[in-house]
Amino acid sequence: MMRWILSITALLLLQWPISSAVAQAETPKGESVRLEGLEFTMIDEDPTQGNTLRKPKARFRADLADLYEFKGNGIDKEINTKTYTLQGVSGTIYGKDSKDFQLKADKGTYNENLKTITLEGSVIIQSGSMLIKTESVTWYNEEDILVSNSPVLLQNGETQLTAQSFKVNRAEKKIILQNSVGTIKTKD
Amino acid sequence: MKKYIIASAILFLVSTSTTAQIKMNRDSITGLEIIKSEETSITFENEIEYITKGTVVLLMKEEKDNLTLVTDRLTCTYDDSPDRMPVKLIMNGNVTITNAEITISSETCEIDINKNIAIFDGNVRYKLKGDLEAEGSSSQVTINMGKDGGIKLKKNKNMKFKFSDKK
Repeated sequence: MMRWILSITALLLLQWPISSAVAQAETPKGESVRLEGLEFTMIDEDPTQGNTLRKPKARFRADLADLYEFKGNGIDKEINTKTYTLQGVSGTIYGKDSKDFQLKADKGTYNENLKTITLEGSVIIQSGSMLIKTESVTWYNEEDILVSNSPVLLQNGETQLTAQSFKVNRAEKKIILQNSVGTIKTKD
Repeated sequence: MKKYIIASAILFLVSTSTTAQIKMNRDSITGLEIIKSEETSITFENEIEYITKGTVVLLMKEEKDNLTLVTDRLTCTYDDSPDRMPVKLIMNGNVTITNAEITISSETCEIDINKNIAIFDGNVRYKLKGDLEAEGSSSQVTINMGKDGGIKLKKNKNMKFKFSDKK
C-alpha cells in the first residue's frame, strides 16, 4: 500500500461537524496520509456562547497519525468515513463540573463519524487522586463516557479495586465496575 | 441442658458480654472489602452507590468485629459532613450477615450506623453463638449495636426460638 508521508507538524481544530481543516488531509481511495505531531481539539456545541471561542471539551495529541478515508455508496446515502490511527497518544478531557481527565496510551483510533476515541496499550487515566490503568478504553464524546471491556485497576487514595470492565460517567461522576474485587476505604 | 421456648410475645434479650453481638459505630468502620460483586457503582469520591450480587466485608478497627455481608443489592448513603461518612447500609434480597458470633439471614436489612441499629425484615433466621446459644426465626429482628446491645424479635405466629446453654 502506498503511503503519503507528510513530515509536517499538523494542528487540526476539529469541530462537530469536523471543520474544513481536515480537507487538506483527504486521501486517494484506499490510501492513507501520515501526519506527525497531530494535535486536535474537540469543542462541544454550546449555543449560549454563540460564535465566540468556546472552552474545548477535549484536546488530544498523537506523535504519529495515519488518516484513512473511505467513500462509497450505501443503500440510501453516500458513506464517507474518516479514521485516524494514532501512536503515542496523550490528551485531556476537560470537566465542566468535575475534574479534568488526563489520558495516555501507546496507540489509539479516532473515528470522526462515530465521534469516538479508542485508546489501546498501557492506558493510564488520571483525574485528581484517581488513577485507572487498563489496556483499552473508548471515549464517547457526545455522551461524555469512558467505556472499557478490558481488565482494569482503579486506585484512589487507599482504595484499590480491580474489575473485568468499567464505565465512567463523567456527568454523574460515577464509575461502574463489572465483577470487581478490592477494598474501598472510608476517609480517616 | 436444653430449653425450647415457643414465643408468643415480643421477646427482648439483653446482651451480656458472653452473648452474640454486632458491634458497630461510625468511628469503627474503616472500609469495605469486596470479595465478589457482579456490578459496583462508586463515585469519584469513593462513595458506594450500589453493589449487586455481592459478598463484602465491612472492615472495622477491631478485626474481630468485621462483618460479612451477602446480598443481591447493597446501597449506601452518606452524611453531608466534609468526611462524607456512611450513614446507612441498605440491603435487599437474600441477605446474610455474619460475624464470629452471629449469623442472620433475611429478605432485607437496614443498618443505621448513627443510631447503632440493624433491622432485618422478612423471613428472618438467626443463629447466635457464645456461651448462650440461640437460633430461631421471626418476621422482623432488630439488633441494637450500641453499648447496651440487645436483640428484639417481632411477634409472629410462626415465630420459633430455641436456645441452649452450653454450661
